[in-house]
Amino acid sequence: MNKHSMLIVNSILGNIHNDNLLENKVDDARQQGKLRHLLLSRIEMEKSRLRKKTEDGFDVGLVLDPGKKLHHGDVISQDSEIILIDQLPEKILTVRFIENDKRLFLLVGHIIGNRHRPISIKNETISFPIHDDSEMELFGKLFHDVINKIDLSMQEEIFIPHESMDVHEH
Amino acid sequence: MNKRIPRIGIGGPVGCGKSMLIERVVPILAKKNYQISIISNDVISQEDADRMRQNLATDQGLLPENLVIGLATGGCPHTAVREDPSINLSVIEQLENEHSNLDLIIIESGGDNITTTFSPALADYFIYIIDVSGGDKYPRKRGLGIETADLLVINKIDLAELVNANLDVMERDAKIVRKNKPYALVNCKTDQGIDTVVQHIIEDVLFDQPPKKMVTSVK
Repeated sequence: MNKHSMLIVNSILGNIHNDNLLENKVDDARQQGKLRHLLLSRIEMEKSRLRKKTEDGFDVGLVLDPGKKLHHGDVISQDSEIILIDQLPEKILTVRFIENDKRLFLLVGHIIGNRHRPISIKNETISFPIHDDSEMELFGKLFHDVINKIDLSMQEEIFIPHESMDVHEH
Repeated sequence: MNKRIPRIGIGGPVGCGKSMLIERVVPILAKKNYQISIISNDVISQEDADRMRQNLATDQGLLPENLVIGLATGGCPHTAVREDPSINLSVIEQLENEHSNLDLIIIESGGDNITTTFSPALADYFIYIIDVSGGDKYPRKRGLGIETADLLVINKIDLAELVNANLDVMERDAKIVRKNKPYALVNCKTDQGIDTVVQHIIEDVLFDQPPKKMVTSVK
């Protein structure tokens, strides 16, 4: 490996999901074949120091300031070639509440929290990542008492956790 | 704000060789002039920190005694490195303020189960270590630590024959469950395989950069 070819990245330049100019730049780079993708798992996305190669083998060393965190769609280099952060999809379970019952909400939150899972809350649903298909059965059992009041489904998608799980440094 | 010093978290079950791995890795890094501090978490005692301080600082003089820090965290060990790492973060904050010359901080978790992981706010790189004495089924039984660690270390390979553990099976399964993320087979008693661990630390955590001491002395 060529040890001197690593690109050190200290800052995030922006995100294509909320910056039209940047999105256009990324589109142009894609058409010209100059777009590099850095594929990261959710766990890797949370790191502020990480060495990883882009899909096409370009060596990147991330050294972000404390408190800075990567997001899906971030652009980290736009010099000669653009590097785009792509978060990898993962398996998640989604609980959709059929009944509007505070006791039900508390109980489901307690069961998920007891398994130390990060959560994502949208409207009447709460989602969390699972490690394996077999956990569908596990959570089916754990939710046994309330199974008639919820819909439980499994998806594979990009999981963005609620920030309550974040640990902050001073 | 002081610059964040790269940090490695080491987790694994009780008795798998977490402290021993540190005692083998630190001398090699210290010989290359990297300056290191060690924070050793334990539930109640400071047994491991005391041993590492005696060996690495007092006897070998590889780092100052006050840079081997013991923390009795109480409760389940994973809480102090994942759910609420504030006690570790406050020690690190002090180290970063008072010892900005450090190249690396190693944080050892208390012995825990296979779901141990480190908060990314605490550790940049996570090494999960197991040993062969639990049998060769260990990697394929999976768990967050084994699957998601940046480096899986399988220790005590000299005992494999004695406990009928097949190292080929452990390697095969480690590759499968970790989707080709790195692993290292080691024997901390003889340093077998330790170079591989050190190489990963230098490349993936220190980004092949020279020790701060060397950079300063060149200027």
